This record gives sequence, structure tokens and C-alpha cells, in this order.
Amino acid sequence: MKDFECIKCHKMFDFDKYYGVCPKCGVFNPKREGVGKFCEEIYRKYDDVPSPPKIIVVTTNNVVKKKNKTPLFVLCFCILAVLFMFGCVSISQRMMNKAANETITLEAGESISLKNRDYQILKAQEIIPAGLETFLREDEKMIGVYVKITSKAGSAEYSLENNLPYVKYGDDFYKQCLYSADVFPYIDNYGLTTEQVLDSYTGFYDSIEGYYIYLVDKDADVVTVTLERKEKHIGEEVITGVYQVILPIEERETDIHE
Amino acid sequence: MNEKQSNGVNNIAWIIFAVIFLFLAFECMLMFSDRTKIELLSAETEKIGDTYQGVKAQDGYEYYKVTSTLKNNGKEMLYAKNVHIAYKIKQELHGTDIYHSCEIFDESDNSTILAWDNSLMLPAWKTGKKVDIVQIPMDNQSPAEHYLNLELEMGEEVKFSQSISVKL
Repeated sequence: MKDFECIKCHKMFDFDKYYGVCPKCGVFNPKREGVGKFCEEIYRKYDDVPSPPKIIVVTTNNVVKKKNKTPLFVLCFCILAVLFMFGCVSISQRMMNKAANETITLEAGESISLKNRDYQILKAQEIIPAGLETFLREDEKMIGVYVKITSKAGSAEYSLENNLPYVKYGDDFYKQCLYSADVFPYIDNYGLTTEQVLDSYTGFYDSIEGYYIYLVDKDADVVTVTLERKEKHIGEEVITGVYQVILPIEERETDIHE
Repeated sequence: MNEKQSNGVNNIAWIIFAVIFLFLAFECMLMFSDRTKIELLSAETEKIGDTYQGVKAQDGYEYYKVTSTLKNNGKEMLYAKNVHIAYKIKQELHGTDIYHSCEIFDESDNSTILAWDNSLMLPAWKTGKKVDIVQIPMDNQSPAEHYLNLELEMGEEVKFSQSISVKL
């Protein structure tokens, strides 16, 4: 007997036959007065069951969603961090580049103070002219740059490696000095003693002076002697300035001892 | 696992993702900065002939002096001897490019020259020059133009390659 109207779809159905569940829409209808004994029992059981967790109904018109904001935050953080890293590297490189190109040009004999030493670059002298020796390339000559170094600390110095002067000649040719031990067998014939040649491993106490030896183009008549000023910056040494002295290469006329 | 626990696991996963991503980005940045450490800007060639420092070139070869202009973008001085340039001759034959490797004159093999003179250097942040004496094959039969292709290498391994073509 259809004696009950569904609260949702309003279909009439037999309440006892379907135990309150609408055969059309499936909605369970709440208990009402005057239902049968069996239904009363079911209702009682249903009431004893703990209420199920709330189900959030998602519809296209009314979206109720609990959003997790972490992914968005992490992505934004990553993008910002990468931009920051690239920015830092770029700025740092630009600053170092600028510092390395900040050149202070000095006259011969002017004092250059680097760390605990004072350098005086005095003159550039031809030692072996081009074309005289077969051990030199046909287009090269050997020159010496006379440097006086004074230790301000007053203690023994065994290495000048970090502050070796290099020369520039011609059109952007740069040369590092030669090791004294390598040139000793050749310079002897040109009146230069081993004590007069400096290199990175020369040890000294208060002061020392002598020649740094370079090979340059035979046509070079001027060299730019350069010393870099380096300072510690975040754990590593970076160039903070460059000193240079432009020297004419004096031709070899007399014994180099004079 | 309830909703809160599930969110917690998701957050940890995202944080791990962020750490890995930042690590990889940092590595890429280091690689990128290493790649641009040195640049090959230009090169010039000068014909020497079939003899250099008393040493005759192989048959069919001639010596060329190749002067390359390089920019050191790093914060440390580089010895030019550590900057390797591979020289290849490019010839176009029937529409196809053919490359032949060229031999660099090794002065340490020549006892008449001071083998220790490897003092050419590139100071940090400066543009400098490097000179190589290269033996280049001369194909007299072919009227095709010769092009010298330069590939810049760093250290012992080829970290990157940069090419500039120079017309001989």
C-alpha cells in the first residue's frame, strides 16, 4: 500500500515494504509516528550506529574544497631562490670584473703596497736580443724586469706566488715570468748571476731585488708590468684592483751588471 | 591515514622536491658559469711556410701561425697552454662538409727551442691572445676554399666546444 510520500522526490511508496527507503531516489526517509514494529527496530539500530563522517558534496556550481597551499608556496620559493642565486652570481661577477679592470697606473719606482710587501718596479731591460740564440724562437727576445721587494712584516718570505708580476706587450699578449731555474743555464753567458733572478720560490727576509725574466716579441719596445691586488672575499681571494707600470725596454748595450 | 596525515606527507614530498630542485638549479648554475669561463672571440691566421724553427712540415702540409683572441671570464688566471684549441680544416666537397684534424706544432719535441716557455697567460677578466703553430694540409688538387674550424676545449676533457671559422 502506497501510504508514504518520499521527502525528496515525493513519490508515493509502501513504507513497510521498502523499510523507508524510497524506491525511486533511494533516500532514507526519517521515522515517523505509527510505523510498524520491524521498522521501529531498524530505526533503533540505525540510531545506535555512530554518525558517519561528514561528506562534503562537490557540485559544479558550488565547489567546496579544502586547498593545500604548500605546493604553491614551494614553487614560489623555488623560483625566487633560483632568481636570487642567479642575481647574486651575476652581481658578484660584475663587481669582480669591475674591480679587476680598475687600473692604477704608476710611474717607474713608485711604491706598490700589497699585503705585507712593498714593490717597486724599476726598469725593463733586454737580456738576450732576438736572433742570437737558437733556443729562443726566431721572433722572441728575453727581457728582465727589475723589481725591488721589501717585506713589511720583517719575517721570512718563501713564496711570492700570489703576487707575481706579469707583462703585457703588443696587442693583448700577456706573459708570466719564467722560473729562474729554467733560465740559469742560458743567462750565465749574458752576465746575469743566479742571485739576480727572481721567481715565485725566492726566499728572502727584509728585502730583495732582481730581475723577473720574460720572453716577449722581438718588436716589443714597451711592456706594461702588472701586479694584482687580491683580498679575501667570502673565503676566497678575489682581485680588487690592478697596478700597472708602463716601461720602455732598454736595449742591451753594456754588461747587465752595470 | 586521515586527512591531516595525508597533507603532512604531501608537504614533506614538496619540501623534498624543493631541495632536489634547488640543488639541481645550483649545479646547473655552476655548469653555466663554468661554460662561460672562457670565450673564443676571434682568430687570425698567418702563413709561415713548410719550415718552422728548422723543422719541416709533413708532405702536403704547411705551417700556419694561428692567433686566437680569448676572453677569460673567470676570477683566476689561466695559462694559455691549458686552453686547448682543436683545429680542423673544413672542406666542402660535392655539397658535403668534410673535416680534417690539424696537428699543432709541439715545441717540446724540438730540442732547439726552450721547451719550458709556456708562459703565455690570460689574466682574470681580461681579453688576451694565444698563439699556436698548426700544420694544415694543403690540397693543391682542389680549388675549394679552405676554412679552419677552431674548437675550444678546457682542461683535459672537452667541457664545451666553441667554433669559429677562419678563412685561410
